[in-house]
Amino acid sequence: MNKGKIYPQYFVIIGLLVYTIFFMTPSIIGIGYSLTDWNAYNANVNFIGLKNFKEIFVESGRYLKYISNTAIFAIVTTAFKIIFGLILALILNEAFKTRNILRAIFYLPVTLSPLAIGLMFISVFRPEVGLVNRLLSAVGLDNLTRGWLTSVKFAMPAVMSVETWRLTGYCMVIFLAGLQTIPQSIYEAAKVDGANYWQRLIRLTIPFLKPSFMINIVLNLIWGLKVFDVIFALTKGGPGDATDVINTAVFFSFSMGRYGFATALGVIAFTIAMFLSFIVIRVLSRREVEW
Amino acid sequence: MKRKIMNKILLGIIAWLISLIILAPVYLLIINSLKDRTAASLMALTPPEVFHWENYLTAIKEGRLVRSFLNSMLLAGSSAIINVFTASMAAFVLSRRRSRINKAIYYFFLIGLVAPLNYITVIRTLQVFNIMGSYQGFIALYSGWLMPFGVFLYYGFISTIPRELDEAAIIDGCNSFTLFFKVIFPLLKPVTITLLILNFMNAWNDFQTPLYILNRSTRWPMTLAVYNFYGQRLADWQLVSATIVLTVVPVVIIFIIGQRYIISGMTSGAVKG
Repeated sequence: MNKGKIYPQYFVIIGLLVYTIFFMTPSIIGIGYSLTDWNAYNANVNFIGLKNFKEIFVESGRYLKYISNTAIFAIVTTAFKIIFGLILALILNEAFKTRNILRAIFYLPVTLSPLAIGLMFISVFRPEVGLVNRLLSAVGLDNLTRGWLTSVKFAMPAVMSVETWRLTGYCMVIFLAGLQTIPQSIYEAAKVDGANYWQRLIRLTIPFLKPSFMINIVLNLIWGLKVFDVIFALTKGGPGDATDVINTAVFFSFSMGRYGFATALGVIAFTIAMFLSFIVIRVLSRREVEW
Repeated sequence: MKRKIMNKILLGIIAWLISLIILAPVYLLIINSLKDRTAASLMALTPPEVFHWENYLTAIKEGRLVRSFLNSMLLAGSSAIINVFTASMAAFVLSRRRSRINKAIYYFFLIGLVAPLNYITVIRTLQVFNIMGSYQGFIALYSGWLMPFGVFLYYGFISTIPRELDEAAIIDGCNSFTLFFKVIFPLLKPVTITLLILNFMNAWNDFQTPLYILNRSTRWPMTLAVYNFYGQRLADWQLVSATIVLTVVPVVIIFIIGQRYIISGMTSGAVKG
């Protein structure tokens, strides 16, 4: 049968066009604009070579700091989300009555607007009356109370904890799905051989969860790289620039009218994401062959 | 046996205690939205003495939330629906005709699963099409932005539908349109529901896109309206809380109804099933 007739190529066209025009083209022409002085105050766009990148990487230390902030944010939150997500998955994989409600509760933040979550946590971290400080006072740790979001040292950990709060449920669900794929017979065999819970966890469960770990690590690193809403709502990159990341810097450069420069920052984020996406595609397509 | 039951009860108690970390801030948000101004500014865990439901009316009126609510509905709803059609049609052909070029197109779509959007050049693109700041521009942008995930989900699912079905339908006199819309598309219903829900949520929750491209406040979606209201009424925490509650309520309702579909969609990337 004629495949071209049954599966016409024009079915692909509309989606491909919209995607290409409004998603990929801006990213690609962004590479071109990152080499210009495009700005709000001058109608002419002039080619300036790698000057924007030179400013980011060599002349101004600020942007290197934002890039390293982004990396720290992505790596630390990924680690915590995975550890907590795994613990929750192991607990909620046991058959007890209320586990489905609990799974839903832990997953709920994933579905909520990151901006709304950020605004909600402003009250949690308030200096005098916020929930965190109230709890610390209640257990007698008054000397630990502080204005979390206004402290240069603690704003970043505070922001990272909100991201962890928000997405731990996602990691949990991925691990729960991974746990379903482990054949129970293997556990029975291990029990017969006298393996205790921890031995089974380390020798059986965790190796079997390797694909879930991969997915969680890569996706969360990418989400960390793209972080914006939570930080913008909580600190706007402050105090000073203690919590500034690539995307807040893009926005503030954009607000100042430095479009070419903001685009250069975007290109850096794009390049890192491309590198990570290469890994994602490798992982996803390999799995397709295996199963 | 008895020890096993005890262990399970203990696990349940531990899990519920941990869940307080999730529930406490949400509870705090809800009770604060119902307090008067002074009580809300204390942000205490005690429930309000009198429930000030009128806070919600004030927030809706002063934050002009009706307009924003409708904007969000329009933007999120229409892009979710457009995406379901464009993505399923594309995925159908890509999955059935795995020529070299179609494989390349599929990978080209997958890149979009992770690549960040360049908002500044997006503005440029929208200006070229003369749809900057308009609903159309917004919907076009979302429709493009949602393609990768849609194609990815449909592609996997369509691969599990036997080809013999297509052949039988063609022999019975279907053309490619009727084959797709009468035979294949109905079979894709679980993925379609999942995608409608996730797309709607993603678009509803999006803050960054409107921040960059919507300059006129009459077109603001909920996220932007709430952020703006927060900036103006910082001292009225009860009203800010009420607006936050109002932004998340639709998503929570959808989550409760469509939980099964959401989880299956979110995990299908990790585990085939």
